[in-house]
Amino acid sequence: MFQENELLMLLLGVGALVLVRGNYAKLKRYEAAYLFIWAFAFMLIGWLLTIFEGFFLYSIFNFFEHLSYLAGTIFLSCWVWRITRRREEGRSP
Amino acid sequence: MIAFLDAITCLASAAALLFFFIGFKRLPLTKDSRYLLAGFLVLLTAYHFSLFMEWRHAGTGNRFDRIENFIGTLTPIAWFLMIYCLVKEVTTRELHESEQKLRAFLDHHFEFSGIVDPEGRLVLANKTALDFIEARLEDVVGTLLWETPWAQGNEVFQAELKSCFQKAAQGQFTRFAAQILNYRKKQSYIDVSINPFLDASGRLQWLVVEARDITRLRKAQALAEETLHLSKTILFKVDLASRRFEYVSPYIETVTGFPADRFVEGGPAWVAERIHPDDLEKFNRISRDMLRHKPGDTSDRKYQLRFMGRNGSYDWYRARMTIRYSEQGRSAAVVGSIESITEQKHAEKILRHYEQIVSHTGDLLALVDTDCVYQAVSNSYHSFFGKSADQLIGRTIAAAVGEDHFARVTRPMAERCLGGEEVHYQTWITLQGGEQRCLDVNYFPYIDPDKQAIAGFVVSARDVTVNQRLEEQLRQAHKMEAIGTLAGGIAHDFNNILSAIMGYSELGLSPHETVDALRAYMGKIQQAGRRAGDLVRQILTFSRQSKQKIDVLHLKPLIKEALKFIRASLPATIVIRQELLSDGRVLADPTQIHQIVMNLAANAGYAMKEKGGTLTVRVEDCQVDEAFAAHRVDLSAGAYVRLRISDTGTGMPSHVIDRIFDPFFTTKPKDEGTGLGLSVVHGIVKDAKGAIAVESGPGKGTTFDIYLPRMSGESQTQRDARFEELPGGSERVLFVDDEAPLVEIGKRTLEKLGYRVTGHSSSIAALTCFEHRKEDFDLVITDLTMPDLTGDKLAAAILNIRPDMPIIVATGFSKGMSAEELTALGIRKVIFKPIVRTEIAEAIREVLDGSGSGIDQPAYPIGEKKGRKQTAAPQGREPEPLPASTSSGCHGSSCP
Repeated sequence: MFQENELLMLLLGVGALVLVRGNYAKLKRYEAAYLFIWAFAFMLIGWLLTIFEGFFLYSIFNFFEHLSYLAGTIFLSCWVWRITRRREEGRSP
Repeated sequence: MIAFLDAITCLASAAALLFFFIGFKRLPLTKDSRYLLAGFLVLLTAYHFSLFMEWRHAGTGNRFDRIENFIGTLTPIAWFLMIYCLVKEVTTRELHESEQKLRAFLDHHFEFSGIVDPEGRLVLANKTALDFIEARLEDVVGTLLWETPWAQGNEVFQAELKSCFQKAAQGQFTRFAAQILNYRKKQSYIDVSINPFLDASGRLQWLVVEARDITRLRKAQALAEETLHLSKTILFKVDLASRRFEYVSPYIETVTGFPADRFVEGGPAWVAERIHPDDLEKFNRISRDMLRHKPGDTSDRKYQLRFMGRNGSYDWYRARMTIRYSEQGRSAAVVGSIESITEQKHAEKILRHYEQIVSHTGDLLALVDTDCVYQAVSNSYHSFFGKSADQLIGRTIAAAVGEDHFARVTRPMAERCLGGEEVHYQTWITLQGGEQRCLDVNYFPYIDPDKQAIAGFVVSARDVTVNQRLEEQLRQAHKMEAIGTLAGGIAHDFNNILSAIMGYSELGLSPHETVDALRAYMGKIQQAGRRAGDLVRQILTFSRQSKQKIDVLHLKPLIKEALKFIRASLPATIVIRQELLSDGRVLADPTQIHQIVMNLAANAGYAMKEKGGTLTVRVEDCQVDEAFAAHRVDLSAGAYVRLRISDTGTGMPSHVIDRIFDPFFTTKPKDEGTGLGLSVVHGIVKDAKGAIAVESGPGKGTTFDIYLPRMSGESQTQRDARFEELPGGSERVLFVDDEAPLVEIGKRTLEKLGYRVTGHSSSIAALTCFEHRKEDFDLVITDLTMPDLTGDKLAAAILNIRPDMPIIVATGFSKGMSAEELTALGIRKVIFKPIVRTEIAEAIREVLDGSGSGIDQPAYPIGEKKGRKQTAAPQGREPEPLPASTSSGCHGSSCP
């Protein structure tokens, strides 16, 4: 069975997804927004998989859950790196 | 495995956190968002760390599980917040960009723009408006609009602004123009508008104030209005549908006397009433044509018509117009200009009058360009040359006067004129039919008014052929008059000569005279005969109707000769003093020098006839310097021979001196003078490029100074005398003269020269002789005036027998035969009696050797033979008149 807090995480994540969907056009205009969105997407997948692991194929879903976190975190790191770099590049003559 | 993945995830989170801190200042986020991102990354790192710890210690207990669960629940919230933050960032940035665009738009708008709140306080003003008063936005924001620096100190503007604001606050758009001062305190015109901005509920939210600087526009408008008022061109617009003037510029009142409004109100009928009846049809035709006009047709029209002004007189106007079309492509309006051309028409009329005058003037007028190409010619000009205007215009002057004359005379004169000099000269030209005419020609430089440079010259010529001939006749008449005056003196001299001849003849005829005494008497008689010969020659020289024979000659002997002549005509109470100091030579005609001396001496004699006196004739060299020449227009610096003739007579007052050279002016009684003498003298001196000056006063006598340019070189006569050798020959000559002694003398003279001569005193006998022995003669010399058969007829008959026979005619004087007639007869040479041995010797050789015809002056009768050597042969050789003889009949070889 899944834990209650995991369901709460998923629900809150879906709420965030709604926010992304509603402001997708604006969000896209931010620097390297696709990295940020991919990061969020992997995180959301991780939250979904943690629910699934409670019902069946625990080991596999658990593995992919953590793999999703890893992927999301890498995308997020890349995004942070990019937004700091972009401004620097923009300032260079 | 899971712990490993979480470890890497944890490290990745830590890396993101590290990137964040490293690039913190470069993050494109607001301050709040940066902190939020920092929190977000810390939370994620903590979550992944707790996950790592949880899985690392999965087998030893689960004390990190609750931490992981707690932080994990916060993670989606953090994502939510982060996403919201980024959306807000984008929104803020776009708003900022939008504001920047709006600011740029406002600030770079050339008009003044601003926003005021419903109370009238300024909220925003653009840069243009602020620059106008050199103020910052902070200085003016919050100030009531009518108290801002734009309106300060301008009560009229303030009041107007306030009033307009109140209207605009009620939702009304208002606009007005006003004068304000800019920061340079320069007067400016602005166009202000206040536009209310209402919100969705219709409530007044802002008032948008706009103003534009229309100073230039106002000035341009003022200038345009002023120009329109001052312009002498009338602008108009006519609506074609109603055929009414919609606009007429005010200047029309100045021209027609009617105000512009009168044209607008008057309608087409009023305008048509005032158009000249002769132009009305044209006006109506053009109006109809305008209505039918279509786009694509030539729309520009111009025509001239007469319109009656307020003063009731018709003036000329020229209208230029073009058609404006409606959207449907129909003629809608006519716009154009009208200008008064009355003055132009008047000028054209005057020009036509001038054309008529020029066309019908007797003078020959033409305009030629710098290449001597005719640009315009008067009727008289082309008629004179027997050509049409078209045959001359576009061609050079050579087309009229001939190539030779053009190159020789016209071109040099034209070049002088093109150099800026007014040129005057006289020339003889040969017309198409061979007729010779004398033209008095003036060239005036033509200055092109546009280029202010010489663009050609005006030719003004006059046919003075008749004047020339009359002048010639006048001169001749005057000479004859002078001869008449001198006749008394001549008679006196002749009587003396005759007395000598008669006296010595009687002495010689008396008995008991020795041979030596007889020879002495014969010598005296011969001397008297020579004197008589001299006297006759002088009379002939003076009265001969000869053309001028200009030559370089010594003045002194000519003066001596003339004085010898004049002496006889002057009373004994007048002493003649000769001071002939110069041997200078001048270029002159000897006859004319005689005339000068005779005229001036005769006048001197007249002035001294009652009391007597001294006539002084002085000839001296004279060097005229620049200073002296500057006082006389007709004299230039150089070497001259001055002939001064002065008397001690009554003298002349100044008013007489002023007129003495006028033709026909005389102070003598009617029968004693013609008034031509001094006029002739003046003309002669002028022709000789000399000058004449007179000094006189009542009771002081009179002095005439004549300056003649001194010449170098020697005269033709001198050259002739120096090189003269009597040529002879052995040809056979038939000599005919009705005077037997002359036949005898001629025969002996020619025989001495080696010729074989047959003489006849009867022309008929001579002709008979020639008929029988036509091959026995090489030359015939015949007198012209003979009884029975005159010399010309004899010559014609001889030439009829032998056309190649050379014939010389000897004559004393003839006024009937012209050169053309003698040439037509075939006569080769004319010589004058008394026959001089040298002359006849040269003439014979000239004829027999074929060195040319002696008839080389076609325009004069044969009595005017040019260049008689006797007139200028005083140097060393006396001409030898052939002695008279009383023998008659056939001389020499016998005739049948």
